[in-house]
Amino acid sequence: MIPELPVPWGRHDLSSGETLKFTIGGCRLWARQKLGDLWLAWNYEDSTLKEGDDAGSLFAREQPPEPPDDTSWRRWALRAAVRELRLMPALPDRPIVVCPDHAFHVGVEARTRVYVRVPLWIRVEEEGQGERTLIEIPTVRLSNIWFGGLMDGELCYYISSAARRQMTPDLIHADLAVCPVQINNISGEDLDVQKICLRVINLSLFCEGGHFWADESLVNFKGKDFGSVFDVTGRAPDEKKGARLVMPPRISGRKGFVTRMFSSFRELAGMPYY
Amino acid sequence: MGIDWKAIVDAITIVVLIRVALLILLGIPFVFWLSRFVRIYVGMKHSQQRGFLAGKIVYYTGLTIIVITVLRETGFPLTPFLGAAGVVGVALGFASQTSLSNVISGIFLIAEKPFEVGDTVTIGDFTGEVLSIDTLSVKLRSFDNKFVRIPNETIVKSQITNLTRFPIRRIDLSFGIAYKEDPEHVRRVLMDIVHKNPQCLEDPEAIFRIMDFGSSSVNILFAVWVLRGDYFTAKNEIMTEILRRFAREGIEIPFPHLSVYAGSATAPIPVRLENDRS
Repeated sequence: MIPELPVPWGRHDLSSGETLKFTIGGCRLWARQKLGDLWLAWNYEDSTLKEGDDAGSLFAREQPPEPPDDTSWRRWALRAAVRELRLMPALPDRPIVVCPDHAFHVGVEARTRVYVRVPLWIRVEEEGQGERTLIEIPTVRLSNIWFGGLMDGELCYYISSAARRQMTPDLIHADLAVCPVQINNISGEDLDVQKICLRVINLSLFCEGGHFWADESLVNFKGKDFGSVFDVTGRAPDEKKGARLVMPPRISGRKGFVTRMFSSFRELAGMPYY
Repeated sequence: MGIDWKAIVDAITIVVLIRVALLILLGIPFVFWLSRFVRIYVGMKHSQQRGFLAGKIVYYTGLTIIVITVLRETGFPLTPFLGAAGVVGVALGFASQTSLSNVISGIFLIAEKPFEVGDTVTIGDFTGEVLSIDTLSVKLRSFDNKFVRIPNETIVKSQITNLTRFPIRRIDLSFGIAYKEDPEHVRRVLMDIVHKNPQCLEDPEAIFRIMDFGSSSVNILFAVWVLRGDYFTAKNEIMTEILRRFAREGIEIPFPHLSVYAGSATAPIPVRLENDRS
């Protein structure tokens, strides 16, 4: 059973001709029912997620909450006339690269824990028999980053918001999920962490008291040449043991796989021109 | 040794005819089906062009086996036939050197894999999407929707640039700024353009380099990384935005100009008004 979600997540009645407006993070979403079809429009505020932003959420039944002229509508013709709309939170569809507060080193056989807040995606679902995802919309516009080598890396999202060493109240927002990452250095060398590639596609999403959490990521660093063994617990993190599952991982079943999760600026940005 | 045609005709009975007909009617469709199956299976397991090659090997081998079996069924002596085929083969080989060269080049291309079906490549003067890699030639579709056939031999001898081998590409923009401009200000403006364009990757970072001091301008190289699929749209957007922002910031992209001095190395040409109309 899905736990109670904070507004504006969850179910919303949508009667004919009515337009609903949601503001979640930097995204403004309009939903309308017209002749049984579902109409959606969304746009973004100019600002992207920044440290300390108050990315509050808002839900309005304004009349008429019309989107601006430069925002176009999209229409879904569904099996039955739309009467309800469900907005579910989901973690992003690609790995996320984040920077810690400051570049830090994890010594040999040392361990540390960081907290990363990740913007949620809005999964718009068709209510009724066999709930179906209609579209996923990011709550903020994230920039892209390439993580890894030029020939074999992967496309990730980049967030400039920091990965923190401590849990503080400002990390909690209705449009953000907190992802705890436990880093263990089991190699014989220091780990120089300047960027962390967080594989959110393997994480589940939990909720408690209106706050979203991802399950704990366990990263065992085995050395520069051997990569890191990445594992997820699949259960609510120790900080919120009573949290209930909201969304399972996009890709599940990959436990204990070796991957590249850390980089120093030298490796990525310091590429020579020729 | 001559062929005894009378003995061959005598040996052909109704039973032989039925067997030959069955061989042809069942064998040829079976070879078609088998070659198609091998092409799809190998194409899925490895690559499309290896699938094409494997399918063609199965097809021609199967047809050869059917022809030989039919000849044997009809009592046709194969020894003189194969001897004659060898001679004909040598003659054909001499006559079709170019085709054979293309076939062998095609095998090299498939083994070396400089590109695959669906890649965008530049071969010589042509740039386009690879439609197929065949025994004799490679077929391309150019961006203006022209069909281009390039013989395999030509490709093996040419320089090939595969534009879609790697997932990200760098857009290199070269332009000049006036000597009066502050390069740091220009760099900040350019970086701001990149940060505001969602198609540009945050990392690898954009590169700003002063390449040389030209006769009319300070020449800049500005390189931005994007996903390969975004290359053309991102390039167009960035160039448009550079023009807009430079105009707004008053950054001059100078036209080539020439200063002419007369007499002294530093004094300009003296200009005198003939009629003072003020």
